[in-house]
Amino acid sequence: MAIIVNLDVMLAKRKMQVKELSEIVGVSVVNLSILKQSKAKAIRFSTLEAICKALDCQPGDILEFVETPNS
Amino acid sequence: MNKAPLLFTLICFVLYLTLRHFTGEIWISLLVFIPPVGLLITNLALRKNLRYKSWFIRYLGFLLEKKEFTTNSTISTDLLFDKLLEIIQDSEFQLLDADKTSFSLLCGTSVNFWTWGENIYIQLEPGEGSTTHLQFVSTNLFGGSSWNRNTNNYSSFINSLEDSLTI
Repeated sequence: MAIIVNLDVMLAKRKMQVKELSEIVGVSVVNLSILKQSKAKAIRFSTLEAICKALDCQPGDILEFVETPNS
Repeated sequence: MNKAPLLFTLICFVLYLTLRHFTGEIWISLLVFIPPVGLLITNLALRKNLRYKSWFIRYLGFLLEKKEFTTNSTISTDLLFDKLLEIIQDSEFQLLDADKTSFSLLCGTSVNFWTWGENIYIQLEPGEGSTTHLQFVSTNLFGGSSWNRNTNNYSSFINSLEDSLTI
Protein backbone atom coordinates (compact mmCIF):
# COMPACT_ATOMS: atom_id res chain seq x y z
CA MET A 1 0.00 0.00 0.00
CA ALA A 2 1.57 3.28 -1.12
CA ILE A 3 -0.73 5.61 0.77
CA ILE A 4 -0.63 5.10 4.52
CA VAL A 5 -3.38 6.48 6.73
CA ASN A 6 -1.94 7.75 10.01
CA LEU A 7 -5.30 8.33 11.65
CA ASP A 8 -4.43 6.21 14.67
CA VAL A 9 -1.26 8.28 15.22
CA MET A 10 -3.21 11.55 15.12
CA LEU A 11 -5.90 10.11 17.40
CA ALA A 12 -3.23 9.11 19.90
CA LYS A 13 -1.62 12.57 19.70
CA ARG A 14 -4.98 14.24 20.36
CA LYS A 15 -5.89 11.60 22.98
CA MET A 16 -9.15 10.98 21.19
CA GLN A 17 -11.11 7.74 20.77
CA VAL A 18 -12.44 6.59 17.39
CA LYS A 19 -15.98 6.74 18.78
CA GLU A 20 -15.51 10.36 19.78
CA LEU A 21 -14.16 11.27 16.35
CA SER A 22 -17.02 9.38 14.76
CA GLU A 23 -19.56 11.51 16.62
CA ILE A 24 -17.79 14.77 15.70
CA VAL A 25 -17.20 13.92 12.04
CA GLY A 26 -20.45 12.06 11.39
CA VAL A 27 -18.74 9.00 9.92
CA SER A 28 -19.49 5.61 11.44
CA VAL A 29 -16.94 3.86 13.69
CA VAL A 30 -16.81 1.00 11.17
CA ASN A 31 -15.89 3.37 8.34
CA LEU A 32 -13.26 5.12 10.45
CA SER A 33 -11.78 1.74 11.40
CA ILE A 34 -11.62 0.77 7.71
CA LEU A 35 -9.96 4.09 6.94
CA LYS A 36 -7.55 3.66 9.85
CA GLN A 37 -6.49 0.26 8.51
CA SER A 38 -5.89 1.76 5.03
CA LYS A 39 -8.57 -0.54 3.58
CA ALA A 40 -10.74 2.22 2.13
CA LYS A 41 -10.90 2.62 -1.64
CA ALA A 42 -11.08 6.41 -1.55
CA ILE A 43 -11.66 9.30 0.81
CA ARG A 44 -13.98 12.22 0.13
CA PHE A 45 -12.62 15.74 0.50
CA SER A 46 -15.56 16.47 2.81
CA THR A 47 -14.54 13.59 5.11
CA LEU A 48 -10.91 14.65 5.06
CA GLU A 49 -11.89 18.23 5.84
CA ALA A 50 -14.08 17.14 8.75
CA ILE A 51 -11.32 14.90 10.18
CA CYS A 52 -8.70 17.67 9.85
CA LYS A 53 -11.06 20.10 11.55
CA ALA A 54 -11.81 17.69 14.40
CA LEU A 55 -8.16 16.73 14.95
CA ASP A 56 -6.83 20.23 14.21
CA CYS A 57 -4.31 18.95 11.69
CA GLN A 58 -3.37 19.03 8.01
CA PRO A 59 -4.25 16.34 5.41
CA GLY A 60 -0.55 15.50 5.29
CA ASP A 61 -0.66 14.54 8.95
CA ILE A 62 -3.22 11.87 8.15
CA LEU A 63 -2.13 10.68 4.72
CA GLU A 64 1.40 9.66 3.90
CA PHE A 65 2.93 8.39 0.67
CA VAL A 66 5.37 5.54 1.15
CA GLU A 67 7.24 4.30 -1.86
CA THR A 68 7.05 0.54 -2.22
CA PRO A 69 8.85 -1.60 -4.84
CA ASN A 70 5.59 -2.31 -6.72
CA SER A 71 4.22 1.24 -6.68
CA MET B 1 -32.70 -23.41 -15.38
CA ASN B 2 -33.62 -25.97 -12.76
CA LYS B 3 -36.01 -28.53 -14.35
CA ALA B 4 -37.24 -30.16 -11.11
CA PRO B 5 -39.93 -27.54 -10.26
CA LEU B 6 -41.32 -27.70 -13.79
CA LEU B 7 -41.53 -31.49 -13.52
CA PHE B 8 -43.13 -31.11 -10.06
CA THR B 9 -45.76 -28.71 -11.49
CA LEU B 10 -46.46 -31.01 -14.46
CA ILE B 11 -46.92 -34.02 -12.15
CA CYS B 12 -49.37 -32.01 -10.01
CA PHE B 13 -51.29 -30.94 -13.09
CA VAL B 14 -51.46 -34.47 -14.54
CA LEU B 15 -52.60 -35.79 -11.15
CA TYR B 16 -55.24 -33.07 -11.01
CA LEU B 17 -56.58 -34.01 -14.46
CA THR B 18 -56.50 -37.74 -13.64
CA LEU B 19 -58.35 -37.31 -10.35
CA ARG B 20 -60.85 -34.99 -11.94
CA HIS B 21 -61.48 -37.48 -14.74
CA PHE B 22 -61.99 -40.49 -12.43
CA THR B 23 -63.78 -38.84 -9.50
CA GLY B 24 -65.61 -36.04 -11.28
CA GLU B 25 -65.17 -33.95 -8.14
CA ILE B 26 -63.27 -30.72 -8.67
CA TRP B 27 -62.70 -30.20 -4.92
CA ILE B 28 -61.03 -33.59 -4.46
CA SER B 29 -58.86 -32.89 -7.49
CA LEU B 30 -57.77 -29.55 -6.07
CA LEU B 31 -56.21 -31.40 -3.11
CA VAL B 32 -53.31 -32.13 -5.46
CA PHE B 33 -52.28 -28.49 -5.16
CA ILE B 34 -51.99 -28.65 -1.38
CA PRO B 35 -48.29 -29.78 -1.47
CA PRO B 36 -47.01 -26.85 -3.61
CA VAL B 37 -49.08 -24.28 -1.73
CA GLY B 38 -48.02 -25.85 1.57
CA LEU B 39 -44.40 -25.68 0.46
CA LEU B 40 -44.73 -22.00 -0.34
CA ILE B 41 -46.35 -21.23 3.01
CA THR B 42 -43.66 -23.24 4.82
CA ASN B 43 -40.91 -21.40 2.96
CA LEU B 44 -42.41 -18.01 3.76
CA ALA B 45 -42.64 -19.01 7.42
CA LEU B 46 -39.08 -20.32 7.64
CA ARG B 47 -37.35 -17.66 5.59
CA LYS B 48 -36.56 -15.23 8.38
CA ASN B 49 -34.27 -17.44 10.45
CA LEU B 50 -30.68 -18.47 9.83
CA ARG B 51 -31.42 -21.80 11.54
CA TYR B 52 -33.25 -23.00 8.41
CA LYS B 53 -30.45 -22.17 5.99
CA SER B 54 -29.89 -25.83 5.17
CA TRP B 55 -33.61 -26.25 4.35
CA PHE B 56 -33.28 -23.77 1.49
CA ILE B 57 -29.73 -24.55 0.47
CA ARG B 58 -29.44 -28.30 0.89
CA TYR B 59 -32.77 -30.09 1.36
CA LEU B 60 -34.91 -27.97 -0.93
CA GLY B 61 -32.03 -27.03 -3.20
CA PHE B 62 -33.23 -29.20 -6.07
CA LEU B 63 -36.58 -27.36 -6.20
CA LEU B 64 -35.29 -23.81 -5.98
CA GLU B 65 -32.86 -21.87 -8.09
CA LYS B 66 -29.87 -20.76 -6.11
CA LYS B 67 -26.74 -18.92 -7.19
CA GLU B 68 -23.52 -19.01 -5.25
CA PHE B 69 -20.75 -16.45 -5.54
CA THR B 70 -17.51 -16.12 -3.63
CA THR B 71 -15.09 -13.26 -3.26
CA ASN B 72 -12.23 -12.20 -1.01
CA SER B 73 -11.82 -9.01 0.94
CA THR B 74 -8.76 -7.47 2.53
CA ILE B 75 -10.89 -6.26 5.45
CA SER B 76 -10.79 -8.38 8.60
CA THR B 77 -13.78 -10.67 9.26
CA ASP B 78 -14.96 -8.87 12.37
CA LEU B 79 -14.87 -5.45 10.73
CA LEU B 80 -16.38 -6.68 7.47
CA PHE B 81 -19.31 -8.20 9.38
CA ASP B 82 -20.11 -4.80 10.94
CA LYS B 83 -19.59 -3.13 7.58
CA LEU B 84 -22.03 -5.51 5.88
CA LEU B 85 -24.65 -4.79 8.53
CA GLU B 86 -24.36 -1.09 7.65
CA ILE B 87 -24.49 -1.79 3.93
CA ILE B 88 -27.58 -3.99 4.19
CA GLN B 89 -29.41 -1.39 6.27
CA ASP B 90 -28.75 1.22 3.58
CA SER B 91 -29.58 -1.07 0.66
CA GLU B 92 -32.70 -2.49 -0.97
CA PHE B 93 -32.26 -5.70 1.05
CA GLN B 94 -33.89 -6.30 4.42
CA LEU B 95 -31.81 -7.73 7.22
CA LEU B 96 -33.65 -10.80 8.49
CA ASP B 97 -31.14 -12.42 10.84
CA ALA B 98 -27.50 -12.10 11.86
CA ASP B 99 -25.15 -14.19 13.97
CA LYS B 100 -21.78 -12.64 14.77
CA THR B 101 -20.39 -15.76 16.44
CA SER B 102 -20.56 -17.69 13.16
CA PHE B 103 -20.23 -14.56 10.95
CA SER B 104 -23.48 -15.41 9.18
CA LEU B 105 -25.97 -12.96 7.75
CA LEU B 106 -29.40 -13.48 6.30
CA CYS B 107 -31.16 -10.82 4.30
CA GLY B 108 -33.96 -10.89 1.80
CA THR B 109 -35.78 -9.04 -0.89
CA SER B 110 -39.42 -8.13 -0.49
CA VAL B 111 -42.39 -9.90 -2.03
CA ASN B 112 -43.91 -8.16 -5.02
CA PHE B 113 -46.06 -8.93 -8.06
CA TRP B 114 -43.16 -10.67 -9.84
CA THR B 115 -41.53 -12.63 -7.05
CA TRP B 116 -42.07 -14.26 -3.68
CA GLY B 117 -38.74 -12.73 -2.72
CA GLU B 118 -35.26 -14.15 -2.45
CA ASN B 119 -33.22 -15.13 0.55
CA ILE B 120 -29.58 -14.09 0.64
CA TYR B 121 -27.17 -15.98 2.88
CA ILE B 122 -23.80 -14.35 3.48
CA GLN B 123 -21.09 -16.35 5.18
CA LEU B 124 -17.77 -14.85 6.20
CA GLU B 125 -14.70 -16.92 6.92
CA PRO B 126 -11.29 -15.66 8.02
CA GLY B 127 -8.68 -16.09 5.32
CA GLU B 128 -4.92 -15.76 5.36
CA GLY B 129 -3.61 -12.81 7.34
CA SER B 130 -6.43 -10.37 7.94
CA THR B 131 -8.32 -11.23 4.77
CA THR B 132 -11.85 -12.58 4.64
CA HIS B 133 -13.49 -15.11 2.38
CA LEU B 134 -17.06 -14.08 1.55
CA GLN B 135 -19.66 -16.55 0.33
CA PHE B 136 -22.90 -15.14 -1.08
CA VAL B 137 -25.84 -17.43 -1.81
CA SER B 138 -29.06 -16.05 -3.24
CA THR B 139 -32.04 -18.40 -3.49
CA ASN B 140 -35.62 -17.83 -4.51
CA LEU B 141 -38.39 -19.03 -2.21
CA PHE B 142 -40.56 -20.75 -4.80
CA GLY B 143 -40.02 -21.94 -8.34
CA GLY B 144 -37.14 -23.07 -10.44
CA SER B 145 -36.21 -19.79 -12.03
CA SER B 146 -35.44 -16.48 -10.41
CA TRP B 147 -35.42 -14.75 -13.83
CA ASN B 148 -31.88 -13.55 -13.14
CA ARG B 149 -32.81 -11.90 -9.85
CA ASN B 150 -30.27 -14.01 -7.93
CA THR B 151 -27.43 -12.73 -10.13
CA ASN B 152 -28.78 -9.17 -9.96
CA ASN B 153 -28.86 -9.39 -6.16
CA TYR B 154 -25.16 -10.23 -6.12
CA SER B 155 -24.30 -7.40 -8.54
CA SER B 156 -26.27 -4.96 -6.43
CA PHE B 157 -24.62 -6.20 -3.24
CA ILE B 158 -21.09 -5.97 -4.65
CA ASN B 159 -21.76 -2.47 -6.03
CA SER B 160 -23.03 -1.36 -2.61
CA LEU B 161 -19.94 -2.84 -0.96
CA GLU B 162 -17.57 -1.13 -3.42
CA ASP B 163 -19.38 2.21 -3.14
CA SER B 164 -19.31 2.06 0.64
CA LEU B 165 -15.51 1.83 0.61
CA THR B 166 -15.37 5.46 -0.48
CA ILE B 167 -15.45 7.12 2.89
